[in-house]
Amino acid sequence: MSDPLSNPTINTTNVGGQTTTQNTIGGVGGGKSNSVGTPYTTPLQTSAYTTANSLSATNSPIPNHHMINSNSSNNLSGMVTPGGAGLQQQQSSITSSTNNLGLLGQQQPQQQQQQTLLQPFTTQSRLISASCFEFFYIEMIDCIMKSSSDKQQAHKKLDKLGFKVGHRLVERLSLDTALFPELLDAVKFICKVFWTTVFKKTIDGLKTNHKGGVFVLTDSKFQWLQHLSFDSSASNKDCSEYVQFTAGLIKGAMSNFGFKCIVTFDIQQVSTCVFTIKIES
Amino acid sequence: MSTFTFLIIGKNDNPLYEIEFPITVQKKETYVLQYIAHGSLDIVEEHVWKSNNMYLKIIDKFNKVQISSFVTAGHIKFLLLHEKKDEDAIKNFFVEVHDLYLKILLNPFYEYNKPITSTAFDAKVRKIGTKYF
Repeated sequence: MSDPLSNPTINTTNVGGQTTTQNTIGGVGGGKSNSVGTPYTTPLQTSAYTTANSLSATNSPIPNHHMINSNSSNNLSGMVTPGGAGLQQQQSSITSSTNNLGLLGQQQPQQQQQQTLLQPFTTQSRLISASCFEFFYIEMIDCIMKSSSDKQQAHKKLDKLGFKVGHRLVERLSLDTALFPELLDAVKFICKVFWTTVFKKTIDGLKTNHKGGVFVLTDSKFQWLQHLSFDSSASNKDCSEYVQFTAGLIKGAMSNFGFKCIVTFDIQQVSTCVFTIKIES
Repeated sequence: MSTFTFLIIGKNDNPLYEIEFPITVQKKETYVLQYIAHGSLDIVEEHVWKSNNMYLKIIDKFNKVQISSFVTAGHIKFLLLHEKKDEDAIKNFFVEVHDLYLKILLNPFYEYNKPITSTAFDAKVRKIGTKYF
């Protein structure tokens, strides 16, 4: 079987009376048109048409095999360029079933293709590569650990940093929601909306002791611990510094809603984290 | 001609920003308006924990001056002192200013709960003010 990277395939499609040549290298297409008005567009250049609003890999213009938890293909058909040709991006040599232009090598009726070009371009949100963020996060913690005199000081720095981020981020997320006079509503918001924005999943478990003002949040697959590896012979497998920032995020979010709290956490098994929020009376 | 005074009040009831539309208000009158706004803060605090809405409508009156309020999720209070009652315009004004405030808040160089000194923010608020009032 030949290596897909060594043999780039060139397909020609007739789009609206213009011939478009498409180079597909390793399943990632960069559209190239021989018409004068159409610019050469790489997958990364298409990000100019989109807006950022989340912290995850889904729909990122970078191909899927560079991503974590990415399972949707980036469908750019129907985007009208100055030359009039629709751009299309293929990912991992799989053509999306929703793709109006079909497989690149096939001819389709001109009328149908022109209808496709007249459709308005729906912008997909440009998101951050999860792997890039995780590498950055690991480096950030490493830098803070090295610049701190002891572990306690490092944890304080991370907590403060998380507090600032959580405080500002939750203000942005609650733009379209109502105020939270009730404590439970604020915690539910953190479990659903806040957690989904940061980790692309909701909290797996929420236990409450409403009278005592204690809430226990369980994340059974904590994303920022999943890709850490340990030396099997090492006796110390403490990775609490990788979770301290998240504890700060929760504390900052709760503080923004007007509830002062203490957030502690416990790491169970490999990547299960239990966060305990205790409201200060 | 009716005047509008817009204030942003921080979490500890500290003033973050103040502007008047149109900018023809006398010094003497400015102090009176600040006094009225200060007096209405307790009423805002009461309303916040009772209501789910960010826009609290008209919360207080002093002679001809009416005070409308809007509270963000982070309990930053927007107050507008006005004489004319135009709820739609006031609500839209608050929503647009809230959007601007969020952009300021997400700026890493802005320190939370400190006075807003950005000239760009000031210019945009003026623009929104002239649009609605």
